[in-house]
Amino acid sequence: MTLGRRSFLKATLAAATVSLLAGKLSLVREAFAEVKRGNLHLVWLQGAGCSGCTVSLLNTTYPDVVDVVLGILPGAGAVSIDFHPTIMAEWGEEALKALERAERGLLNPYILVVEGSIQGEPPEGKGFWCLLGSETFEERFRRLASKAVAVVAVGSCASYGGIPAAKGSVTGARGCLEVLGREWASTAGLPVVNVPGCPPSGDWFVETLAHLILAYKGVLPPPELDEVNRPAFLYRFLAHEHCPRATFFAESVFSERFGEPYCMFKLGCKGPLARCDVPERGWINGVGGCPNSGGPCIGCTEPGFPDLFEPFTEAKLPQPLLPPRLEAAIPAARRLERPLETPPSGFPYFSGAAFAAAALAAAMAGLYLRKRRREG
Amino acid sequence: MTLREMVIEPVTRIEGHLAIRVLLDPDRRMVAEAYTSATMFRGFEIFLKGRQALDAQWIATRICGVCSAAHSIASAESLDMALKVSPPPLGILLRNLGQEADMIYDHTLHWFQLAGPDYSESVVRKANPGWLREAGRVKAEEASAYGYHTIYDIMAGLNPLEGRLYLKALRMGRLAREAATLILGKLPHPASVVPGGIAKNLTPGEVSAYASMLMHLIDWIKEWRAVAEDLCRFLDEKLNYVENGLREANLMSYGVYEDHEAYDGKRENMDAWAVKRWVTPGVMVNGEIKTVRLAEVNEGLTESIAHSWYGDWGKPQFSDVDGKHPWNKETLPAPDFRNWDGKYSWSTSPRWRDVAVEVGPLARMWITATAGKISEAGAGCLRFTLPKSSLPEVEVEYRAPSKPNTIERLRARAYFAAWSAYAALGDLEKLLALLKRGVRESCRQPRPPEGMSRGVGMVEAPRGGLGHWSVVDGGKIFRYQVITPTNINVSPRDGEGRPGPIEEALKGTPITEPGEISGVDVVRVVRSFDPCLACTVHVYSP
Repeated sequence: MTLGRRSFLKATLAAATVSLLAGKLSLVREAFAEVKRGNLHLVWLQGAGCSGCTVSLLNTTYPDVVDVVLGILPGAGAVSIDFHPTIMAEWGEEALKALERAERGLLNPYILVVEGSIQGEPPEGKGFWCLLGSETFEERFRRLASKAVAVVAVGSCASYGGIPAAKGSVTGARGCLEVLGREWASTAGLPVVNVPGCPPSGDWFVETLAHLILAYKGVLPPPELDEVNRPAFLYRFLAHEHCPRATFFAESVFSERFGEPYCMFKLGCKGPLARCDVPERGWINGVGGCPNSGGPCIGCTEPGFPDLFEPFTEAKLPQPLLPPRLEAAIPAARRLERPLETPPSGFPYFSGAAFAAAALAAAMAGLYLRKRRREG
Repeated sequence: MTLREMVIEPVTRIEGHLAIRVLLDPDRRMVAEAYTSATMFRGFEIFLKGRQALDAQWIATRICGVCSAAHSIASAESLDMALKVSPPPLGILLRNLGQEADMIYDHTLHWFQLAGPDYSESVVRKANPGWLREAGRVKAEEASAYGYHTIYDIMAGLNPLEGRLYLKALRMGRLAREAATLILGKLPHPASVVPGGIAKNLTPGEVSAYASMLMHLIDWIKEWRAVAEDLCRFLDEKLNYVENGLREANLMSYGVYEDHEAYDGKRENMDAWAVKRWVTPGVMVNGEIKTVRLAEVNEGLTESIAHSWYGDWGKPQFSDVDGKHPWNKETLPAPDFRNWDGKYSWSTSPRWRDVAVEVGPLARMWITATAGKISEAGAGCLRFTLPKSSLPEVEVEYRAPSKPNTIERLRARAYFAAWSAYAALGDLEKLLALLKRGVRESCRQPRPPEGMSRGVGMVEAPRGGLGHWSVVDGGKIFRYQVITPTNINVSPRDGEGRPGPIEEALKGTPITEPGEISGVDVVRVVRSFDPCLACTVHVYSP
């Protein structure tokens, strides 16, 4: 071998320009330095999902998954991924042994990551919708959740039911929060942490994980969560508030058809309703993002996605009602040992809609700030 | 003779939920019978009903997070046809460029993160220790140019999370997704693909960015192709691993990567535009090409539910296709306990004129090379040049094999990544020509027709032919049916008891493990079909 693993990684890392993301990197570095003292385990289950969240996780760039798992950051330890159906070396019974070890307390502490929704029992109790090694997915999930130091629902399916729970679905698909309940707490006293999105940005998952590790080690307070248990530091602002096309909205210059470079509100963009920083962050390594590349926001980080936001291509903002099962929202922070400060603005779920409605009304009333001639 | 039953559940390093039951013949040390069981149901066909046709693409792409680019483009093509809109040439090329980069990412991940570990030094040391001695003696003929002296070096490079190839592939996969994201906005689940074209309009700066990423990927593909060729030749010639996953040459390809001047999304012109794709559509039965007409490929498809947990859907609606064709199908789930002699899978059994055809890169390369419909193809060969990047120019020649097996599936996948890169270069050139002429339109507005209309989008996802069939009524989805490539490959037995392609390929596969049987030969067969893979962080054993 001409280039060993160490030198290859070193070379790659040296080539990385980390300064842009220094804040994030230092957070992750501290987190993994903490983990060095004891191995932290990850058990990653896939229910009714599409593996998109797993692929998305691979999109993180600085640090990337290789960096994180090998713990090559200065002074960092390693995270061990003990079970992940799409990547693990073992198969069949050998693979399931990792889950048994976790259930018997031999992988302590472990974070349970869930991708995909959890489906119910088929009618008449016959058969199954989803199996994991001859057992229904839900049975496995409940047992593993009871021993986990944290349960992280990655993606909108695991958070709220998502696409498999869309109107017309017959499988009783739900998110972790609904299955375990709002009062449920992990062995470390944390409620279910949701990182929704379809899929969520890979960076969001890595940053959430880092924050949880630091919280577990007592370095940081537990992450503040919003009404639907999302880390507030990631989901505070609307896609619209992060959008590079938002200026056109303020100026009432709208794209009339796909492919035009203006605000896509009239094409049905749901950016004023969905909390997401991808328009600013980009999708991979700063490249892409939905409105950035002409795709309207379809509200994929929100409860009620997709039904609440359809038709996607109609300029109509729905009444932003939480689906009934999530209505009794209790800010998770209240249940934590250390009281957390309420952020100054709170997390007004409806503010985006109100803002958009007001702005739309203003636009309709002809209060144009400036009218632009559209290029041919 | 007592057969020994072995159930592998879950099958890992694939996308999704799969169980395999094999009956092993311990005396002859081979697989005597095999059953594949898909163990998860979500029901997209059911909940797409009644939604706005223009929204369908954003829902349907979410069927799979691994090959979501293919799903979004298949859905968009299905709706191009149903909504009677022809995308402009620029929009067609941009869809291609997005999908070509996506294909490179997807094949990279399959080769190195999912299937690769089965041929890595660490797995081979446990399962087939005899192979390693041989591997250390055999020179890596083509890969030596990239620093691999023997086959052992390649196997060590494949070691999960440590090997040079494994780690490089993780980062190259991301780079390919980055290139695709430049156009598709987001991957998984593209944001910018719409019926009538694509909402993304590239700036000249972004064209250079894409080109630069592509050239880096071509560097990677040159190394990968050499490594793949050496490893496959070793398995083939030195280890004689040819019976693993062997079956008859019954293959099907839908073709992919449209010609920007030919594609108009119209059903009546389907044969004309599809045959001009970079990858030729067609069906091969027992090594002979039966058709290269996409319309005929479409019309020959039927779906059996004899061994699947679904109910019959009764009277067909359209008489120009079979009652069991997806345009006539209704999805009626009927979950039940698994009965290996009765119903045992959530996958249905798609067949082409009653033949269990295999789909995937091997079918694409084989049919394209044999049909000779494009200038690079002829007499079972596909010849093309990967131009100078930071590495020297490479002449690539792909020769169709005599029969499909595990080795040939692996080999074809690496070559198809090279072919996709070549197609991307060609499309980039056409794109520049359009931009030079001042063409800017990437999307046309669909006007949903009155009454009921039908569409089909048949393209190649990374793991084979992917079809989306839509029936639109008054702008809303009346019916939406999807047959995924994995649906075809992992299909259970059909009404006549004919096994699915993976079941067939498993039957007769020899067991090479000298000691206790872990099933490594079985999972190698299954993974060679790349059953809807996903990706990778990887297992780390401290």
